[in-house]
Amino acid sequence: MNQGGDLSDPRSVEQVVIEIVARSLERTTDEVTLNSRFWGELDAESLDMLDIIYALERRFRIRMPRLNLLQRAVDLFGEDVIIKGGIVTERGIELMRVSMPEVPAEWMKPGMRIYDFRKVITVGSFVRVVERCLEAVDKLRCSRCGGQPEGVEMTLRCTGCGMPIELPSGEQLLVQDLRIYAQRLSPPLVEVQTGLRDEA
Amino acid sequence: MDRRRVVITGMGSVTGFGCGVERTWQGVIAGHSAVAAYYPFDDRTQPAEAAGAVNLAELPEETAGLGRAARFGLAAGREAWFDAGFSLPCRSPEGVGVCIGVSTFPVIEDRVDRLSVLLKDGEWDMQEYAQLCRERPCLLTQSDAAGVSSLLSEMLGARGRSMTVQAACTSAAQAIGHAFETLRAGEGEVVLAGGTDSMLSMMCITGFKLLGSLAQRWEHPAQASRPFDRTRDGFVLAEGAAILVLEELEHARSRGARIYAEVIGYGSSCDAFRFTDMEPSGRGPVQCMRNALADAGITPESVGYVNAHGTATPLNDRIETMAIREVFGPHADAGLAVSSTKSQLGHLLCAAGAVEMMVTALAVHHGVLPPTINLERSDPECDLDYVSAKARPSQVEIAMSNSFGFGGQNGSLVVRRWNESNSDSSVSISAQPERRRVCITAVGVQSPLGLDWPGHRRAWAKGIGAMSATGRDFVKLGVPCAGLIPAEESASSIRNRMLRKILTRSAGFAVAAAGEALRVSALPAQLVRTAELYVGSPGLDQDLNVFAEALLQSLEGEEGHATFSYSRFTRQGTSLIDPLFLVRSLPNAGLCGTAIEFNMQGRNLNITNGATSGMLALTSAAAAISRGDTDVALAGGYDSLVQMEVLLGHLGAGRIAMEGIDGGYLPAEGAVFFVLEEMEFARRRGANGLAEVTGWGTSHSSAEEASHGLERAARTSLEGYGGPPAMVFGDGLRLANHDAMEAEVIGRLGQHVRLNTAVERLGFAGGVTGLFSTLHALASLREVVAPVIAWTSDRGRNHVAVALRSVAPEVTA
Ligand SMILES: [Zn+2]
Repeated sequence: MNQGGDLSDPRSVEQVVIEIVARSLERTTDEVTLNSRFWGELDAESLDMLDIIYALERRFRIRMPRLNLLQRAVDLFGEDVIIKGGIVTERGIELMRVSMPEVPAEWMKPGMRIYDFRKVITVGSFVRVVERCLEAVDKLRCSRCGGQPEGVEMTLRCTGCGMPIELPSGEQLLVQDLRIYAQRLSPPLVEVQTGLRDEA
Repeated sequence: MDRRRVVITGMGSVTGFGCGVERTWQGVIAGHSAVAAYYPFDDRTQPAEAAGAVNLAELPEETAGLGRAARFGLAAGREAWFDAGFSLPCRSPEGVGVCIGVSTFPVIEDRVDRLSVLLKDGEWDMQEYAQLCRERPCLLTQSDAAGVSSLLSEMLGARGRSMTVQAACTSAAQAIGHAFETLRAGEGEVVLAGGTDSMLSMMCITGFKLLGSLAQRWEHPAQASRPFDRTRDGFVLAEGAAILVLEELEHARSRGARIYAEVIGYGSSCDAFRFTDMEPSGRGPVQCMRNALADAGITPESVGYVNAHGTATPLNDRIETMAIREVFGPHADAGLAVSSTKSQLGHLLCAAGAVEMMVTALAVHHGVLPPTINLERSDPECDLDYVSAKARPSQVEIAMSNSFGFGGQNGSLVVRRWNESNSDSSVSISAQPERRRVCITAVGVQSPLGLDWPGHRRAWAKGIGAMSATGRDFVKLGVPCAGLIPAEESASSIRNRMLRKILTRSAGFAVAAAGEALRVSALPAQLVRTAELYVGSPGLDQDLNVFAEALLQSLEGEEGHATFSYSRFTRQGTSLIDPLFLVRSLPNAGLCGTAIEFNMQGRNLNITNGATSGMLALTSAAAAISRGDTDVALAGGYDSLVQMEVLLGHLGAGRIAMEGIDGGYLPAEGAVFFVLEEMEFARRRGANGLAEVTGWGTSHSSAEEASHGLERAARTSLEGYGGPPAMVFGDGLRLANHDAMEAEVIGRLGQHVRLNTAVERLGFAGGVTGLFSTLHALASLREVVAPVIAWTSDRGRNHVAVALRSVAPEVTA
C-alpha cells in the first residue's frame, strides 16, 4: 500500500493519524483512540481540524476532502431528503451510517440537529478518509503511457514518461462514494440537480 | 457629564455598484446585487470566485499608482468631504482628524511576472526580492500601515489625529465608533471616519478559501451571498470604501450643514473565545449590542431596525439571530426589522462596517429599510423579520449597525434620524469636561534585553548589548544583526494551546508582555474581564514563504522562463499552503490572543498606525479613563521589524543602518504593556502608582511641517503645566530628517531640555519604540519633579506624545 510521503515508515495509517492528531492537539498518543471524538472529547476547534487535515495531506501525499459530508449529501440528493427543518432526516441518518461505518450507529439518530453532526466525527473517520485517498493514489495510472506514478515531494510523476500526474481530489472521491452508498440503501436515494458547481 | 453630540454631515462611497453614494444606495434599495464572477490577472478563462469587485476604470486616473484600498479611500473621502459642504484645503486643520479601518496585505500578483526568478529552491530569493522592491517602490507601500489614513489627512491638509485601526471585519465599526467617542468627548470638530479595503488578491482569496469561509455555490454569482437563508454556505468577498464625515453638532449647525443622522451610541466587546469559531452562546455580540444601547441611553424597544453583520456563514447568522433575540426580547418579534447589506454587496471586510453604517444612516434618513436579497428558503434557526427581497418604507427613528470580526472583536453603532425638533434638547455644549486623573500601576515588557520589566531594567543598567545575529536571509540582505527576542522562551508562558499554534512571534510577545503587566497589577479576574483593551499592532505580520511552494507548483514552462498559471495554482498549488496562514496574519491577533488568554471581554481598540501605534494605544486608553468610560485599561503594543516583508520596506527607504548608508537604525522587536487606572480607583484598591499620565497629544503634519506637528503633540501633552519638560525620551533614529525634526522641537521646548533615546541600543522596533521610550521615561521619574515626556513620530507625518509625572506621596497616601 502507498504510504505517501515516507515509504520506509513501518507504522500503520492508524498509528500515524493518531500521532498527528495527538501532536496537533497537544495530547499523548494514549489519550487519542480511533473512537475519540474531536468535538467535546478532544476539545478541538475548527482551526485544529484544518491543521490536522493539512498535516495528514503532507504526511501521506494525498488531497483530503474539506467539506462536510452531510452538506455534500444535501447537494447530491436534495435538501428535504437529507435534512428537514434543521434536523437530519431518517434517510439522511441511514446514508450517514453507511458512509461512516467507523462511527457507532447509536451516535447518529433521527432527530439529530445538523449542527450536532460534526460532533460524531472521530479519529477513525480520518483514518478511513486517509485510507480511501491512498487507495485512489494506488490505482492511479498515467493517462499518456499507463505508467505508475511515483511521488516527488507533494506531487506525483509518471515513472514511465515523466508526465506530472495530479493527485486525486478528495472532494471527488467523497462524492463518488456517496453515490455508491446511496445506491445500497433501499430504496436507493435519487440524485437531484442542484446546480452545484462541479469542481474540475 | 454633559456630552457633545455628533452628527453625520457627509458621505462618500465606492462599491461594486460604482463610485458615489447614490449608486450604492440605489442599488441596495432596488434589491440588486453587486456580486459577479471575478477573474484575477485578466485571465478570462477561469473565474476565481464570485466577488463584489469595483470597476477600477471609474476611479480617477491620477491615483492609478496607488493600491486599490488607497484609491477607494481617497475617492470616498473626497466625495464625503465635498458632500458635507467643505472645501479643500480644510479651514481649521487642527480640528480635523481621520480614523479609518484598512487592511495591509501584500499583493503577490504585483510580482507575478517575476515569480520564476523570485522563487529559488522552494523559497523566496530575498536578494532578487529586495531588488524588485527597489525597482518598484509601490510594492513597499504595502508595508506602510498608516499609508491610507495619512493620504486622507494630506488631502484635507488636516492636522488632527490621523489613525488607522484594524479589527478584521469590525475595523470600520471601530474606526467610526472611536471617532464618535473622541468627538463627543471634546477632541476636535470633524473626523473623516470609515473604512476602505481590498482583499481581492490571490493571497487573501486563497486564505479565506482554505479556512472554508467563502460561499461554495456561486454558479449564479448574484445569488452567492445568502444571509439567513437555509442554504447559505459562506460569505462573498468584496472590496470598496465608505467614508463618513462625523461632525460635532454645534459646529455643523453653525455652518448650516445638512445632517443625515445623529450617531448616538457605540458598543464594543470581545468574545475572548476562539479565533474563528464564534462563542456558542453569542455573549460577545450580546454584550456589544447592550453596550451600544446603554451608551446611547435608550431601551431595546426604541430600535426599529438592525443592519446585521449577516455574513451568510452558517454560524454567524445563527448566532447573530440568537444574540438579537437575547438583546431585544419580545421586541425582536414585534416591530424590529433586520437585514444584511452583505446579501447585495458581499463582505467588504475592513470597510464593511462603514458601508453598512452608511446604509443604516441613509435608511433612517430616507425612511426606507434595505432588503436582504437571496433569502428564499427559511432556516428555523434564523427567524427574525429580515426585510426579505424588497426594500420596505418605514419611518424608523433609531437603527443599529453590527460588525463581528475574526478573532472575536465586536462593534455596534446606533444612529437616530435627524429632525430639528430634537436638535434643541437639553444637552449643553460643555467646554472641556472635567478630566479624571490616570496612573500607570503595572508594566510588562518583552525586549531584546529581557523577558520582563525587571530583567530589561537590569540589563539596561548594566549596559548589556541588545543585538544578536540574524538568519541567513537577513545576512544576505546586509542585516547581520538585530534586536532579537528568543521567541520560544517568550512564548513559553502562553497557556492557550491554539495561541501557541497560531500566533506569530511578535503577537506572542504581546501576550507575554500583557501577562506580566496583569500579573504585577494583581487585578482580580473580574476586573480583568471587564477592563478595556488597547493594542498597537503591526499592520503586516506574515511569512510569504508559506506561499512559495504553492507558487512554484503553479509555474508552467521552462525553468527560468516559466509563467504563472492561475488554474494550476487553484488545482495543485493551494493544497500546499498552510490553511492557518491567514489567521496567523491577522493584525488583530495580538489583541484577540491577549483577550483569549486572559479572558478580557471588555471594550477594545486595535491600532495599526505604523510607528505611532503603541503610543496611540496608550494615549487612547488614558483618554478613556480620563473621560470616565472605564476605571481600568490594559494598553500596549507589539511589533517586529525582523520580518521580511516589513524589513524590505525599511531597507527600500534606506532607513536601515548598513554598509554604504549614512546613519540609520538596526531592526528590532518587542512588546510593552501598561495597566492604567483611574487614580482614586487605584488608591482604593491599594495599587501602587508607578507614574501619573498627566497629558497626551497627537497630531498629523505634512513631512515639510514635521517639527511643527511634533511640537504640537508635545505641547498638548504638557497642557496645564507652564514650564518645559524635565526630560524628553524620543526616537533618535540617526536619520537626518527625523533627527533634525526632534532637535528643532527640543530647542523650542527649552534650552536645558535633553533628548534621550533607546533606539541606539535596542534598535528600532516600529510601533513599540515609543513605548520603550515611555518605559524609560517612567523609570527616570524618581529623579525629577517636572513632567517627563515620551514621544514618537512616524515618518514625520503622525506624532504622539505623552507626559508622565511621579505619583506624589500625598496622592498615594
Ligand atoms: Zn506516463
